[in-house]
Amino acid sequence: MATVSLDNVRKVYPDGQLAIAGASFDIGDGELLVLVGPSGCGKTTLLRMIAGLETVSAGTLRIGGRVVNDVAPKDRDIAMVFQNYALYPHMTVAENLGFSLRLRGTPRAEIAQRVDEIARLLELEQRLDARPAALSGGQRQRVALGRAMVRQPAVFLLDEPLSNLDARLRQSMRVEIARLHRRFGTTTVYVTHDQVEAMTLGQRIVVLDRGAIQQIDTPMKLYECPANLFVAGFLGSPAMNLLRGTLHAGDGLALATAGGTIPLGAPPQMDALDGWRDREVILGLRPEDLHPLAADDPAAALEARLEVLEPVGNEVILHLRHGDLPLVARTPPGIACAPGETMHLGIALQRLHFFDPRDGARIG
Amino acid sequence: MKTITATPKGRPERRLAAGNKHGVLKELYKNRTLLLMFLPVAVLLFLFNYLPLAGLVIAFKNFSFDKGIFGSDWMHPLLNNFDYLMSSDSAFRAIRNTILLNALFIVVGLVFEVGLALLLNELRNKYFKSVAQSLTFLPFFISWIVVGVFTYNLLNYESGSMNRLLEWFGLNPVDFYNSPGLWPLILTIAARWKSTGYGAIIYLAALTSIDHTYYEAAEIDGATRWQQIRHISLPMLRPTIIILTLLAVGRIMNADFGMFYAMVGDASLLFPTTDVIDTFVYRSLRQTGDIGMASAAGFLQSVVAFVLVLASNFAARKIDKDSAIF
Repeated sequence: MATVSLDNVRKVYPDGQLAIAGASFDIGDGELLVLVGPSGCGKTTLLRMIAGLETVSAGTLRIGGRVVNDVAPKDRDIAMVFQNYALYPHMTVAENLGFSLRLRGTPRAEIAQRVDEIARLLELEQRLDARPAALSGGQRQRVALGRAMVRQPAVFLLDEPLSNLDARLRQSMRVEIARLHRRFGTTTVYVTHDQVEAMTLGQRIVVLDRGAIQQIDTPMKLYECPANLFVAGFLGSPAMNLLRGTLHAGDGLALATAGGTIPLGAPPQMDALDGWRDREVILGLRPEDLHPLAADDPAAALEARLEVLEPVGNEVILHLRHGDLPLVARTPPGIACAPGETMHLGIALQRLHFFDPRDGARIG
Repeated sequence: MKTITATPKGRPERRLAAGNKHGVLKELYKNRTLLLMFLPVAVLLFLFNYLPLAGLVIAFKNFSFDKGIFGSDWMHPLLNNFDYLMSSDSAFRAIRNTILLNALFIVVGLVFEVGLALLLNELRNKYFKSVAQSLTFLPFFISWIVVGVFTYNLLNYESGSMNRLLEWFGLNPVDFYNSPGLWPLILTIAARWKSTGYGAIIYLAALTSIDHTYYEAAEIDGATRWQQIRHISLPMLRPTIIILTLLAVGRIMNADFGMFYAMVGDASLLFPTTDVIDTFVYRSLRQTGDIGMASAAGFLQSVVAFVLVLASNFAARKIDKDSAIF
């Protein structure tokens, strides 16, 4: 196991394209850190730089305290799981698992023993003689994981390892990866574009956009206190409602939007919002922070027309329209309202988010 | 199959046959446009590849220009043309030389072509790679006649550059055109010089189609460049190697007449190691005009090639089922 440390690491391609603008963060010994962001944000480039498959244009990259900028991948004591698994098609499962040990001159008996151990752990004992083409997606995924684990490296690098699996298998493999990480405690860097994977697996998450780090924190901190509009909109499904309007102060705060005025009372961010009165802000509301109320309930803050209702079993997603503004709410099942009807909604005033509309930075 | 055998009428085979017939007609109708497009190809294939097979009867006939192919008398005994071919020492020597030289060309060609493709694939500078590939490909476009003249100028005893070089090093000159033992080597070098660049193209195409992630995975697993070639490139080239080798084995009885005639010509002193079926037949036709014997040689070439392709494919299937052609 080892720490990984990035100090202002940059990646500029020969054609001048800036892939990573300057990443600085540390990954603790045994930590599972997730790099998340949309396609093209630079997360895979960053992972490949840690792996040594991409050169570092500037900055310092350390693994286990040793600067590895110019160290070959094989000498970094890392193992990587690729998005397409990259299992050698001409080798059996056993040969794939033992390949790295064979290259290092490990005695045959020891290779066989470690391959057996990993195969048992990943329930691949019955498939050791099969070629990758004969395996199911989940089995290939497990072989790819096993190939990385068999060498007992200091750092695991996983590049969107679940993206080729169906939803059900992805969920079970997610649990499997979390279980394996708990068992071995190896420092792990996990790349994904799937926020659910990021939130459920990561001890900390690095959110990237257009080559720049937007925020680094624990999953719940990111969810509860996004640093900017990008993080607020990226994490959470359905995404956070973002309402642009002018902030007015009177008998408490109110936001004048294109759909009407929304009373906000006295939110905890009152002090931070002092300088924003009569100015434009963006209000962020998580879907679960909007809840239906009776029409005569004094806590009802806004009215909205129900357009679509999506029951997903344990909850219902409501797609609403407040004037011209679309809103999404998440409620427990059993709601007595049909599409086309007007609903009265209350807002969890303790859980509001305010952003600067000019640069998207969090106000409070 | 289960649904067919479980038919209540109790005559499943007949129903299956009728179903298949109906299915074939349906398929023909469904693909009528494609089949219509293929029709000219099928006609040409029939005219130029299948129809001439009828001419094989010449191998069993005492051919006479007056009577034509089908009017000529049958040989008595029927295999007399083959008997003459097999009983002649020169013919046996030509068959032996053809097989051995072609086998040598196949093995050496495979090593050189795969080797060159691997080297070109390792080049990272694309301009240098293009230049290197063009330079190695260029000799393919030079006629064997020109190569024959080059070779003569290099190797002739009196004024050949090779002998001048040997003399410069203080060595005795070699009479290459009087040393048949050297010619398998000389012919192999000439064939490789001319065809390696061309032959490497297919291997290079196969190499460039290998997913780069395998190399990255191997690099992280700890493989050096050589180990990546050994454990990734070569195993993934295996199907291409097997197919091209099988095709080459199928032509093992067909020598490159252009090469042998241009390089050796009528230098009979070199025939013990350089006379091949094609040059032998050509000479026989020129000297005796025996078309029956020439046809017998051609027939024999085809039959042996067919058997060798079947045998090679069987061997390939034994080694790796997926690599066999059929």
